[in-house]
Amino acid sequence: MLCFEEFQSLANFLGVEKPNVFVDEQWKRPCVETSAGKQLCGLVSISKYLTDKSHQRSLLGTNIEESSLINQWLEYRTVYINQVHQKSDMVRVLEDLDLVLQKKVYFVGNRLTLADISIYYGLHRIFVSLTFQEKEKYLHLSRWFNQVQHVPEVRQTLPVVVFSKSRLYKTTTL
Amino acid sequence: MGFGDLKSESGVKALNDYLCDRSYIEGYQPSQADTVVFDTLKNPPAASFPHALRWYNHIASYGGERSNFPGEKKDVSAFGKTENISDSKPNKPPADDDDDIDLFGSDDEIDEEAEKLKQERLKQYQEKKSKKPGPIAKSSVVLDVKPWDDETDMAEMEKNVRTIECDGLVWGAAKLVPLAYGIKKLQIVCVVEDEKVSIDWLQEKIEEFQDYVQSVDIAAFQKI
Amino acid sequence: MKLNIILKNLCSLKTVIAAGITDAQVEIVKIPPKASCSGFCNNVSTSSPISRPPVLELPSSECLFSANAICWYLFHQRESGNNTTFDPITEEWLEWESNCLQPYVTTFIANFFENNKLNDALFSTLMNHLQYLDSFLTSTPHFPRSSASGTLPGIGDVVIWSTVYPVITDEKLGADTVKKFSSLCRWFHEIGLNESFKEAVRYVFGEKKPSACKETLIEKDPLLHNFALSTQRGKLVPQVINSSDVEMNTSQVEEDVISQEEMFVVFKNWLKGKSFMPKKSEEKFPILPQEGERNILVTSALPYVNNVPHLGNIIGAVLSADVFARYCRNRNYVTLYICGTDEYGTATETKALEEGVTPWEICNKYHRLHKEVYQWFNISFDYFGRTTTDWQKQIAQDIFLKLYAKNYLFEDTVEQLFCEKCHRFLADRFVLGVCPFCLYDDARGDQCDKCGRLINAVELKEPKCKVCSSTPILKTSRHLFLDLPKLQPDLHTWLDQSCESGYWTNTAKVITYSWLKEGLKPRCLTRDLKWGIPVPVKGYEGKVFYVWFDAPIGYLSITASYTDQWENWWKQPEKVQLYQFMAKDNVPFHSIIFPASIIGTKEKFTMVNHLIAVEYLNYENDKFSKSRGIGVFGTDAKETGIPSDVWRFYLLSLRPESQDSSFSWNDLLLKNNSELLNNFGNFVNRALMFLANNFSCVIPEMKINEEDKMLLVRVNRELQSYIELMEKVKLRDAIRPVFSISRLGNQHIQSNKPWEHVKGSNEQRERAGTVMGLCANIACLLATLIEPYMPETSTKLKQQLNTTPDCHVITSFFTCCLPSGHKIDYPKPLFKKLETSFIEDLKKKFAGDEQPKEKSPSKKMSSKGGKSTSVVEPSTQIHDTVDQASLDHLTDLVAKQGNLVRDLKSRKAEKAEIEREVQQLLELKRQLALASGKDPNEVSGQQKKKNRKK
Repeated sequence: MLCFEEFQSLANFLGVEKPNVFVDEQWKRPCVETSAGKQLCGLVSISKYLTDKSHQRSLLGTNIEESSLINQWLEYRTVYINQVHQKSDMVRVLEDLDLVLQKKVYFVGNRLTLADISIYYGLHRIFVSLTFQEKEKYLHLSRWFNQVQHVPEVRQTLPVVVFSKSRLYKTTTL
Repeated sequence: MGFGDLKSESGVKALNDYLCDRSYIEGYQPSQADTVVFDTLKNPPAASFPHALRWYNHIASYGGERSNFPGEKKDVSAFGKTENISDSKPNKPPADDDDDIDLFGSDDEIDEEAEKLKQERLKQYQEKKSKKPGPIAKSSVVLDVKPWDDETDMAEMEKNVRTIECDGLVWGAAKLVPLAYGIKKLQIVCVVEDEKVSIDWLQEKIEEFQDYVQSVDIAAFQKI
Repeated sequence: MKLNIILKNLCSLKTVIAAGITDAQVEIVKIPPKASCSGFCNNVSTSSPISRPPVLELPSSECLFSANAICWYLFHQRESGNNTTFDPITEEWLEWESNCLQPYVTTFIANFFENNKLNDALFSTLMNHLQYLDSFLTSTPHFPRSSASGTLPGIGDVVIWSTVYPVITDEKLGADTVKKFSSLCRWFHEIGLNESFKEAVRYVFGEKKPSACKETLIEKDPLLHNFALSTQRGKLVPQVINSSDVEMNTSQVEEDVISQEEMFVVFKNWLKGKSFMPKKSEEKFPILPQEGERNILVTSALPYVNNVPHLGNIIGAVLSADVFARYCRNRNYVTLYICGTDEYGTATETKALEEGVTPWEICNKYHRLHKEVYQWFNISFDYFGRTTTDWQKQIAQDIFLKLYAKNYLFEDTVEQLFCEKCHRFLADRFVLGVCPFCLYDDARGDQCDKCGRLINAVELKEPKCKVCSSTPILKTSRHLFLDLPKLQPDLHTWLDQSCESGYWTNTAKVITYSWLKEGLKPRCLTRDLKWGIPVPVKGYEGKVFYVWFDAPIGYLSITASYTDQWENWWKQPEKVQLYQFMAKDNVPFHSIIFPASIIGTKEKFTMVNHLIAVEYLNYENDKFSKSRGIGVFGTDAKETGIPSDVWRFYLLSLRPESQDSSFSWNDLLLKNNSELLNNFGNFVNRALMFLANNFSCVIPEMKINEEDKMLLVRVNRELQSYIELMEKVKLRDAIRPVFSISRLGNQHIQSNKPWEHVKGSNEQRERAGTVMGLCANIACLLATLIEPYMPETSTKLKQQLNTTPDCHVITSFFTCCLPSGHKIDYPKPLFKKLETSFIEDLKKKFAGDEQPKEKSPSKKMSSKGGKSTSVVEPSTQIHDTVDQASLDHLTDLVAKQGNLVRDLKSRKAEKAEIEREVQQLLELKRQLALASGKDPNEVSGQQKKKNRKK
């Protein structure tokens, strides 16, 4: 999913106007123009900005501790998850996240936050490439992923990742 | 059939198993189902039931909000797996799921009746099962074994890999596939019985041949 | 709060400074360099970012492992209590620092100490970063600070200062060069005067030089390292594209080195032009194998006539085979693609019984239906026949008699189920019961849907007649058996050789060898049926062939219906390569039973060389798949209004080659809009429109420069990989190179900006012409490569390019088929965008059909034929219209009866009594369900099951 689409989905979810995204060529990062007429760059910054404008500010955390944890996961998403290009990278990221979610339903606090949404968007491309066996291996992370993708407002047009192997029909040739 | 007695260890275990891939008792948001099970539980599950504990802590965090969760309050026995048979029968075809559609709905007595029947069926099933073993679940796995460099003796590597023997593991064909710069990887097929051989273990075993093996990946995996 | 840090570490430095400035109440704990903090779990490896110090343990016992997040926490805790305001500028700097600055600085330093010298490329990139900081600081004294900070440094100052600290202060790292950034240096020194900074540096680095940070660089994190290197090489765009393009491929090693030699060869081939291309071979009739040519015989599993094909059939067999056959024709191989409907057997009889017509009428109806669906999908059969022909009878009987003569058949009496009520022997499919292997309780008499094993109907436990549900009795009947144990050794030899020399998919091999391993059992080849081929042996009058025996013979007989010289294809194994496509449940009949029968004749037959079996295709998410027989069917696909090419492309892109895959509407939309429209369509249209508008549809003169040659090399490599994958029948994977080529083309246009050049000097205009002429030629190549996947689109594109068939033969190199002066037609867009609302409507439409109750007759048909529900019981054909009054009445009765049962139970009445009343209640509920339109079969089916279990 391109970041443009991600912002669209996020804006949809937040109920704010879809941002007009362009690219900052020097640092290869997305940019938008804020309502103050300033340019704002970066996946994390723009996501936070959109959320801040919406009436769902609680997605950014309701106290400093939550907010800083959310910041940390947003950073993790851009610095690590987005950089997964090889299987070995992937395994490390998935192992870490699986561990984190061992005892938690969501990444921060006890509810859905921007951290979950952003990591879901970031992990989607990885999850669609996983085999059923791999998905089973990252049990906690898969449970979380399935939870988040069942919030229709978050998932929107992204394909559903199937977690249980259920055959639809039997081929009946011959 | 619910979780059985949630105050007993087996009840909590059933709950734990049930929650291993779920965040909530029903669906994808907190509901009265969570409240009912939570209230029945009284004490937090032991740490040896991580899934149940995770769920418990999560639901506990809602505090008084719990009583306002959406959904209908039902008896605790109404929640959880309706038919445990499906667990012991992998690859159950979807057609069978239709049997779960409860056309008799809403009436607790009849549910009980149905439950009783299911219990009987389950018992019969397990009796049969104990008499006659079910089909052995097997998987066919293709492993990619990568060497350190182009000087690694691939034949020796394959020989080493094939020395791994255990019950339920059968090695199949192998071939060399070029990677780049003259390096080749070994692609080897094996068939394992799921219950007896863990793929992780197998990978580790292969990686133990450090002189030859740089890494092992699963190239393909399928249930037979 | 505990703050765990490691000495000589830049991230730790950030947090110590922040703690100092904000006067935070933290206890700083020094951790040995290699240790990890037990942030989340004790067994996390040190290399994992989630446990790498600095780690701040928060009051809630959560942990922060990101230095920037720790600083953020410390600053906000001091400043605003719980009221956090969003400061976009600071956010942006923090993000830039973590995403851009820090990975470079660490990579740069690590690289320096590894090689003991400056890496020029890395150094200059680093300078760009410092330049960026410098220009910002020219217009402002420092990074944004919150009002609470007053004159103290802000969070931006802290994190950036810490990261640039070694490169600005350590002369080894080029601090000299840094001096030219005067604003940056001014800011750095001003900030550095702050006591908290001085103290923190002393604390973290002690007497050591800043470069000592090399020991604790997180460069050891391969992810970060990758990131910095790849960004620097311009390989990927870190944030803009979230790497969806980058294939996750472990074995992908970059081979970006292009040798002069390769370039020379590629360019020479390019110059050859189409006169060097082989002529497209003409279509002859009949197509027959030729001496000295590659003769390819392609078959796809014969669909059984009792159902409309669904997407799973289509992708698994006919469509896959079609793509391969089309590819072979484009390669000028002599190719014959044969398929048809399989019409004999019990299932047809069942279906005929159901619909109240003769088997022959059923076959006609469904043969036509299948044909139409495949036509719509543009399946290029050379001949689509059927098995109910004289040829079928002749060839099947011939093979059978030869087996008989060679003593591979033996007679045995069979105890067969006989239904006294229906007065007939029950064919396997007419019996339902419990599977003897897995105890699945809804197994058919010939095969268990659950474990997939073949069953003899008599082995079923608790058998019952499918038609009348009464329990059949065993009666004796004589039958002929194929002696598979006797044939096994020869079969094994042949299989080893065929698997070794051909492309058998893994699934196909695994299934086949698992059969051999278990040891083959004799198989009964005759049946007590009417609808089939008569057994040509005395004493067997009134019996017919078992469908598994005669169906694979259909390939031969259908070829015979196509040409009377069919033996040229089927009896010349040395000349012909046979590719058979199917889903995995058909494998044993193609790899074991049929080959064994052929081997038994001791005659020379063409036998399968390449057996291509796929896994299953699922539909949407798990929720839908619970209902029985749900999915998109061949006829539905047409009704969606989505072009058949898009369907083909989408299905092929999900072809379940090595594992199950799943169909999703949203994914279909995404693939159409991103790959077809934005990538492929956009490239082709862009190139051709440009030529139309600026060069009046004529290919201009092309002066190929070095950059173009590099492009030619890359296109050639993709072409090679396309051919390689196609030859191995990796049909899904072979799509990738096609789209890589159009992506390369798009990039070439993008980087050469012809739309600017075309308005410039003559030379520039010439350059624009070269680039776009080259792109038009790439479009021509794409038209060829895409043909197997999207034949209609390919035809449209060929018309726009105004090319002859000779331009579209696939050769191993890319050459110039559209020379200067070639005139193209006016281009039109090839694809349409799919709108989300449109897809949502379709999704709803198909979801609507998936309610438990299925009203439409066509849908009924599409649910699995073998199920008990397909036989309509008279008692269920009632209550199409039920008035509300009787509904209410029934509801009332149910409620009353429910109360009665409840009452009895609470009184602990006799078990038998309760049982009786419960039965009554169930019956009432059943009637209510019927009246309110629920599927009565499911009710009755369930009830029967319940009864049986008592």
